Amino acid sequence: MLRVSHLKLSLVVFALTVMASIPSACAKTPPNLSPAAATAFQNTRIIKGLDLLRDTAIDAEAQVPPLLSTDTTRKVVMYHRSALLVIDAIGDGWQTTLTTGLDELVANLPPTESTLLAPYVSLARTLIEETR
Amino acid sequence: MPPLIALAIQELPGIIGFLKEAFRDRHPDEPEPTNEDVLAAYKTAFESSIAKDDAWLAAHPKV
Repeated sequence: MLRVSHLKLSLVVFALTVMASIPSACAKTPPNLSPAAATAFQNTRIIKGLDLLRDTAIDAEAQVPPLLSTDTTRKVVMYHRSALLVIDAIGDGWQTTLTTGLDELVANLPPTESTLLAPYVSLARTLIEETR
Repeated sequence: MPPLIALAIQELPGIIGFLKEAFRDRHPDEPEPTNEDVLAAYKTAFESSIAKDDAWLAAHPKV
């Protein structure tokens, strides 16, 4: 139990370290792109960040025994799906909608399951904030 | 193997791939991506990601 908690803590520290360095170190949007393509470039990065959150939830639910309940995983998948549809529909200026949705998602998760997803939620939040 | 460790091992390639892409420095001689490349990459990322959501939701209907 202690070993698992230690691993969990290590993962959180690793994720927080990475997130702290993302805003300054991330690949910049190539200067030759049109405004539409520049937006698509940034949006692709957000999608891939949100994919990490969704994929972790799905894989955690598939572990034996499951680390996440199917109900929690469904909430994550549905948030992810809605977020992508919002990004695709709005194109630009979706940050507040996604952040609010993320806050609601976390608020509706059981605390133990929320802890497991915390690094990925923080990563998604950092990526969203970076595009403001 | 404890499930949390199994999960960490399972997620590592995806995390490393994401970080490599996020922190990648473009070589000066490397051509910049074109608008078409970027728009196609976005479309692929969006469609494949939504497809995975739909597949999971279809396999786990709410009872």
